[in-house]
Amino acid sequence: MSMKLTTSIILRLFVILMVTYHAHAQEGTTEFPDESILAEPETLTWFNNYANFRISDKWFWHGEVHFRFRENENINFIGDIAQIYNRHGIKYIPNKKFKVTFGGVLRVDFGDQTGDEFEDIRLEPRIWHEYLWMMPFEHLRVYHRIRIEHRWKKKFKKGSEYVFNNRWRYKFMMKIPLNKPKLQPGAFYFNPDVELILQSGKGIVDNPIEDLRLYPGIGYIASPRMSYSANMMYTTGQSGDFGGVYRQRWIFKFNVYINLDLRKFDDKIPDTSFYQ
Amino acid sequence: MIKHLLHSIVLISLLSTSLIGLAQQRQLKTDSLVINDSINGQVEYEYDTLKGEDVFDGKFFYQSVFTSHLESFAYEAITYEGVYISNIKEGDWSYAYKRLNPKDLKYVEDFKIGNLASGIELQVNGQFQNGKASGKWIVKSQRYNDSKVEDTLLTVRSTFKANTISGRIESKSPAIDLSGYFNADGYFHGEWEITHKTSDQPIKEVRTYEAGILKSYELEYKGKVFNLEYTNLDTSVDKEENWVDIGLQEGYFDILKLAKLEVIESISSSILFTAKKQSESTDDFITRSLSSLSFRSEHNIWQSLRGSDPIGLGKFKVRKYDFSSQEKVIIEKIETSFDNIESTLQKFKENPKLKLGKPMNEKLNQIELVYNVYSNDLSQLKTMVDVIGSDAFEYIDRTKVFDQIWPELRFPVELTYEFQSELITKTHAFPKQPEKNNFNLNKAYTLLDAIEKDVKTLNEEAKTIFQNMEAERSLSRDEEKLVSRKEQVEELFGNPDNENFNLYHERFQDLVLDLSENTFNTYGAYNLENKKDRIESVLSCFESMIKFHDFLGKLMAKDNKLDDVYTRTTFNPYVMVDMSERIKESLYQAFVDILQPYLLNKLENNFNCNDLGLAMNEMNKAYQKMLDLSNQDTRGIEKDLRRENDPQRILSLLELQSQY
Repeated sequence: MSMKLTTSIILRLFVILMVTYHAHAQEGTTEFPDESILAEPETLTWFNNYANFRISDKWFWHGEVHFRFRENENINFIGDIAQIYNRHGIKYIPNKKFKVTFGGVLRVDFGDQTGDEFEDIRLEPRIWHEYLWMMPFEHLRVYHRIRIEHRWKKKFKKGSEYVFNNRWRYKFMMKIPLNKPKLQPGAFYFNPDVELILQSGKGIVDNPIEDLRLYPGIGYIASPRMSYSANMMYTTGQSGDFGGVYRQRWIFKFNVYINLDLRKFDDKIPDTSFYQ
Repeated sequence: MIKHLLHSIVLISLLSTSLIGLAQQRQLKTDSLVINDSINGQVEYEYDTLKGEDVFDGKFFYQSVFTSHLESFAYEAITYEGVYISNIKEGDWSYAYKRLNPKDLKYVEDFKIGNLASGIELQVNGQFQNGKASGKWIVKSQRYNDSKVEDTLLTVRSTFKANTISGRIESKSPAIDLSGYFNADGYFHGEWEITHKTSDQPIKEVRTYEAGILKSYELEYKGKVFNLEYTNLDTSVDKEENWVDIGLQEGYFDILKLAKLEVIESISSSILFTAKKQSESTDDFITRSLSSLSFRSEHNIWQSLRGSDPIGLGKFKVRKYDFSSQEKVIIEKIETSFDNIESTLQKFKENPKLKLGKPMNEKLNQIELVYNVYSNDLSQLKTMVDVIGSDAFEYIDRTKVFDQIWPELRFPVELTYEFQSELITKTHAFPKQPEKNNFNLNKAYTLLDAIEKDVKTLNEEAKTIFQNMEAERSLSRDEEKLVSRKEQVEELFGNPDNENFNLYHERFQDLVLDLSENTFNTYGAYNLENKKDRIESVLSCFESMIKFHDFLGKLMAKDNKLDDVYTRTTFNPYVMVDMSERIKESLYQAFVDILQPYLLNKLENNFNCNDLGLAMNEMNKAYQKMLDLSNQDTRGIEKDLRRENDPQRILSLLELQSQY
């Protein structure tokens, strides 16, 4: 798919989402305070594992397991376990500039409110599908990713019902090698990353902007099969309780990327000969 | 009663006759038949159904008409007509052979239309009894014009008994009349009168035989009678002599030719010449007359068909002077020697290098002149060898024949020839001329052996000269190649601006150019003999240098190929990028960092013609080995190669052997 078409699709989606947001805002005008409230920042640490297993020429198994910690009264960033996040899917890569993934998510949320009326754990299932376009440049790569999630979410309060809504996520990121001419084993790279997450659904009244995530990072490619990166992410978005309140988060992210080829040996290496 | 008996006898007789008739019923069959392996004709014959249709039994007729290969005639025709009894010739038989040229005039007979013809017909009519010639036989050869007899060329009348010619024979031709006699055993016997119908006065011969032995020979010429004799032919039988029968076809008249016909009386040479001429003519006529009864050319006309024995056409009795075993050996040697001399002289004469070599090689002129001397005498030697080697030689008195076949050779004392516009005179040691008086078989052999040795010795010298000429021409061609190769090497290695010139070429440039110059100069300093010996290896050295240029040109590509095969490219689906990594790193680095530099250094330090080819081979094997290992499990080798810096050890681990 051409870069021009990719940009066009992204712009159109953004316009649709913004129009939706304005419609919601106008309906609830009377309930809005005079100015937005910026909540105190929260600190978290995420340990993320991203894996891709090649199962055929163009098909891959996508698997993520994240361990997410949050601050508590005693420790910033890594006080309590907040979530264990499982994301899996089947990935199809028709060419080296585009991939599409479809799968499911099961997120385990650990509650931080005490009291009998609250659950300790809640499950949040999602169906997700994403589309990623890569723009190759001589030394760097630029990526546009649209991820759409259909999730069933409920509150920790006992007796709460699952509410269905959709998430609309657009991410822009770059990978710029720092010490090598291209992204190759041994390369450190700079990874600017911005993601806007919008949401929609019956329960989404005044808070369509769920999250805006800014997280530049540094990565290292150890081998074609193993990479690492670390980011400090800042996010902000409308609170679920009240759209005028913007929550803030500072998150350390430590990521491991595993890429394994599960195909038979003979399928991986072509025959070669000098003299023919 | 008697009437009934008679009726019964008549009835039985009739029935028997009918049954016999039915049992012996003959059938006629027409078929094709090939005679003498090539003449295809049509045969019409009777056969008895009880004996089978392949058994001729009854009337037989064969005819073949075919296009003639003879220049004077368009067609030839052969016919046989006779009777067979159970595949055996019986009764009257006739054979006719016609050579025909069709004329424009047509004829009609019954409902057939044909052409009148001119030509010659030979007819043989005879009888057989149980497959053996018997009774009166007549041969007629006649010339036809417009299908009418114009002339009779030969008439032979003879008699056979049990396949043996016997009794009187008469033969007539326009030139000779002959009348002779065979005894009951088929020997020439009694008086044989031959009349030569010459234009002025007939010449009459009378040969008197006694049971096959020629006893006397008279010739009447111009009213005078002369007595003739074959001086080398024995005419009286003594004890302990070996006398044998010789048939007409077995070369009796060849013996007479060797036997030297002489006239006893003193006569002029012209009469002697006439006598000999008429005698030979008689011999031919007798042969022709008798042969015509059973032969046409080399074909035995009666043996071409089944059912008869070969016919005896008369025989003579002659004394056989048996060869001793030593004589047999010498005769064989004489024939071999002569063949060798003849073929050597012929090959020398036909050698195209002779003309080219004569202006430059004095010796060739000398050899040619000696060979010419021998060639001039070759016909005399051939006559001698033909007589000695003939079958008739064993039937004549050899003590008397050698002075007849003594070759009168005229070997010169000096040879004078022109070479490069100068007349040169030299002597040559020709074999000693044998004396006529005591010339014999041994001396004939000694002479031929000496000539053969001389011819052979000279031929060896000529061969050496021809070989040198060839070698010099070949050397000249090779030297042209050498100069061309040197120029090619200089062009390849002396031109760094060439787009194919790489770092390897640059590294070896000076070494190659020095080697080229030194090799060329060293060769140039050799004498001619050394140059002939060394040119091939020098050319080979330059070939190696040219190949080396190509080898170095490909070395970069091989480096890249190895880099490629020792690199694994994996697609990283997370960043959507192909990522490459080195595989079998210790193996690859051992080759790149240690082994390959070692091999190149080794070649650099031993850069010479002998090792260049070996070095290229060694490096090719090393590269190929690395390529082969790229797809193999090399964990063991890689483990051994870690921190290994000794190139010999690396060669050993890679199972490679040092080539030089």
